[in-house]
Amino acid sequence: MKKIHIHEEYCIGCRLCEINCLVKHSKSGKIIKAFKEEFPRPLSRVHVEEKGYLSFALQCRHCEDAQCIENCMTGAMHRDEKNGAVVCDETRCVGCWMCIMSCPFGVVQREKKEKRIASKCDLCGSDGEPACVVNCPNEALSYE
Amino acid sequence: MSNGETKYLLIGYSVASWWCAHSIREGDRSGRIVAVTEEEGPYSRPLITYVLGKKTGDVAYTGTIFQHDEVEIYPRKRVVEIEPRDRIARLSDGTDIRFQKALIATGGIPIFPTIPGRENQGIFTFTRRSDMESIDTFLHGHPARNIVILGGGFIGLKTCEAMMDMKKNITLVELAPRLLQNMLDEEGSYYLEKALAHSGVHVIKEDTIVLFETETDRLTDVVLKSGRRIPADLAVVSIGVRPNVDFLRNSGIEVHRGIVVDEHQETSCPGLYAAGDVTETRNLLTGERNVVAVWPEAVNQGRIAGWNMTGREVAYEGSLPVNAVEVGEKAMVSAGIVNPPADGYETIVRKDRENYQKLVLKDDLIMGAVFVGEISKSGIYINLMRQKLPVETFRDKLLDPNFGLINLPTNYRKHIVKGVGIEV
Amino acid sequence: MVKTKLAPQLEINLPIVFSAMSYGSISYNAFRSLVQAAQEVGTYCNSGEGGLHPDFYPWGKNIIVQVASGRFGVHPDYLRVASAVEIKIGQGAKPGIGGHLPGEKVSSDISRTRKIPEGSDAISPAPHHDIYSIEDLERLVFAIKEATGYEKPVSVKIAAVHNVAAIASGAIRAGADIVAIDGIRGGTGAAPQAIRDNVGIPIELALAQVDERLRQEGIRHRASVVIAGGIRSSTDVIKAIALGADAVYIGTAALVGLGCHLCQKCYTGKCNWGIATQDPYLTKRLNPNIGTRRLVNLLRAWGLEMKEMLGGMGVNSIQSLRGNKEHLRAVGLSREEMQILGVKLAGEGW
Repeated sequence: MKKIHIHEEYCIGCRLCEINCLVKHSKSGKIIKAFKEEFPRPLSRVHVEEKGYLSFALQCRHCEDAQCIENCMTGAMHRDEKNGAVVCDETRCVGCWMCIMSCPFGVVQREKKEKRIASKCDLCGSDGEPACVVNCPNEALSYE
Repeated sequence: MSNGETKYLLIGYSVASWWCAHSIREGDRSGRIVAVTEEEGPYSRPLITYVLGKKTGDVAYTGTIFQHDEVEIYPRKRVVEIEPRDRIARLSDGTDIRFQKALIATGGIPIFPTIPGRENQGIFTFTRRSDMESIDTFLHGHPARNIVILGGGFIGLKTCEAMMDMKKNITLVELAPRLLQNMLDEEGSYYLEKALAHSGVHVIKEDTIVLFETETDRLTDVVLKSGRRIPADLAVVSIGVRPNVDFLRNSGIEVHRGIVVDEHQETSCPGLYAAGDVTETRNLLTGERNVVAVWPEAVNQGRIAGWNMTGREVAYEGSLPVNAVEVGEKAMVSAGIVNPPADGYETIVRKDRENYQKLVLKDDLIMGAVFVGEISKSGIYINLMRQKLPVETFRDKLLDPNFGLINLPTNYRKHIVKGVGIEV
Repeated sequence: MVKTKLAPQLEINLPIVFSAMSYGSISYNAFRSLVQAAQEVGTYCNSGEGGLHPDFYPWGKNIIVQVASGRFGVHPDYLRVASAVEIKIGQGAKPGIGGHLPGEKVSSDISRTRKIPEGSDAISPAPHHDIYSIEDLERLVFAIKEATGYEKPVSVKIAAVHNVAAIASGAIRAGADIVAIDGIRGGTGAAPQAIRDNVGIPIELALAQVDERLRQEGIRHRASVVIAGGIRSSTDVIKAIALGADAVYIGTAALVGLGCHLCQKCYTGKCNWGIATQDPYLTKRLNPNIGTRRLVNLLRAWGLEMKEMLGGMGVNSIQSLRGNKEHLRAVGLSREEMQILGVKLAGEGW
């Protein structure tokens, strides 16, 4: 199964991954519209953490032994059969936040759409490489 | 094997039993597993309030753990007695089941105090699907507007949320000086009360119901200890649950607050295991024995029990009370010791108008955490609690708005995820 | 069947070698890009005088190490791991003067690589204090050959100055297997400007003179000549080879491949591109994997262009072009220049 690898030694903290993730997960898929016309603004599922010169973009690690899946009380959080990603079925999610408190990386967020749901990296579905990896200008993320 | 015989018997079939069956199947592909449940079939019990509030369509659990486990379910049956020496369980329909190993995972039953008038219509407890269905039916039959919820605990608040979704006029009565007494401190409760007030919920603390007033067998008002009278068409009593252990009375299995188990989840009778809300386990942080009735620990205990039932010795590390809830757009996460005794503990607090965050530390270890409002990073702290990682090197960064994995020691952060190349 | 035992040789797939840029003057990531590209293309990368970081030992097959006046980081393993050893006598950017790496740039990693205390200035003296004659040079050349078991070629790098031909001749007689000549204005941004811009002579003039002198003395075959200084395109490589070089060193061109914008602020240690800096905020801007790809691209493109040009000249191998000045013609040069270069005026026949 392919995973997103983080190369912190090359991350320059430009946060293009965050922008591209947000756009990818917006309704329009257009950068200006996503930022200016969609309310509430779509959420980026990747976040750059910084400390001094060290920085890295962190998104769901898609753990093999995923506590968010075990602790999900509806079964909404599940493993995608195709790419092995840990994904949240938004139709089943009720926003109980069990996944948030289980995640040792702090990469699940609350999102308010028609109802509240858990928002997390879905490896951009099955359309090839995730947006954060494709758009990283310094190849600090790789998908292999 | 005849119908009356099984290798593994699961008494009660909810989350602890599911994971137990799952673990059993890792070690034993063919042994017969029978599950006895009072319910129609498996469903996710915490979902009932969400279904009542129409947040989701049904209570089914759609996770993948059922797919391979091949468990025979005996629905609408109860185990009324267990003979641990002969390994026989007597069911409510009179039949016996002989088993080799059994898991007791009967969960909790609601505490319902003897308040005058409690036998009338319109007064409910709310812990299972049947409760949800009867409340739903009642609400369809009667135009209930005023709802009184007794108990500002976890179930009370989730009920409250379901009623908020139905646009009811809600009063929440809590005996303690704060809501969610085990999850929050008084300051955290203040944030929650503010959110509830904003959503139109009327909260009455340090008071309780002493009388249900009725008219032709139907609830009309409740009378509080303080003498207040509140109109009520429907009341939900949710002051807590206790382990469902009545059927073990003559079995000889040691029961204290809950069923006493060792670190392999085995009860005082060999071959009988227990997991979930019915058990009393050692607390991960304090070492005290108590009942921790939360989903994640039911999962852990069920898994541990299943492994040990098939001969794979795995020890349980101890239970950590953790919980999360959102009421009135206010999310909350709490874990461990949130109201520490005065000595030896230190607390760090960060708060603003909307958010309240508190960590309880002892000897450089995180012992408790409360998050109200912004909760996204709470899992990091809870994991630190579980791993018992000393915080001395990043103590000053705790609760920093930008606190994240990057503040943790590199060799620790690199090994949270097992798997080549996916470390952080 | 040739019975003669050949002196140790370096084999290159392309007559282009990365010139000496030390770890210290350039960043770890830049150096890594160079060694990885050298390996991929099948050429060499020169370590410069700053020693060799242990991380790069696995690439030893594609590394030429330098022994310079400061002797930084020189130890038996350093000599043994490399494919060739170069004694640096002079440098085109600053002939006749030494080097100075300020103490602030000597981080712990660099101090370990150079074998000097952290935070201390790294001063390369102007002369080698043990070399005051060709005979002294001979002793060092053979000391190195002795240390490496006569298995590795030894190169002597000199700056192009007025009597470069005599010096080159002396170096070969001292036992050098390769003579590297560095022309005026090597591309560094960290040399005193007056020296950088004024001391030394253009490389093509120096090269033609050296080649001519070595031929006259009958020792051209005893060493390869590698030139450096201002090689900017594949055309420059072709011209250099036709003037008598065996290969060229590229430094600035490679850095431009890595992203260098020639701002000439290398001496500040604040290179925006993460090349000539040790600032951890800046060095991470250069991902060596991307850098390697770019360098490989550069060399591959130059290689293809050179093949095209060879085809155009009707020469079927690069060896046939070496020293073949008949393939060159001059336009706009004075008679004296043409005479020194040994090149005929455009339009003149055989």
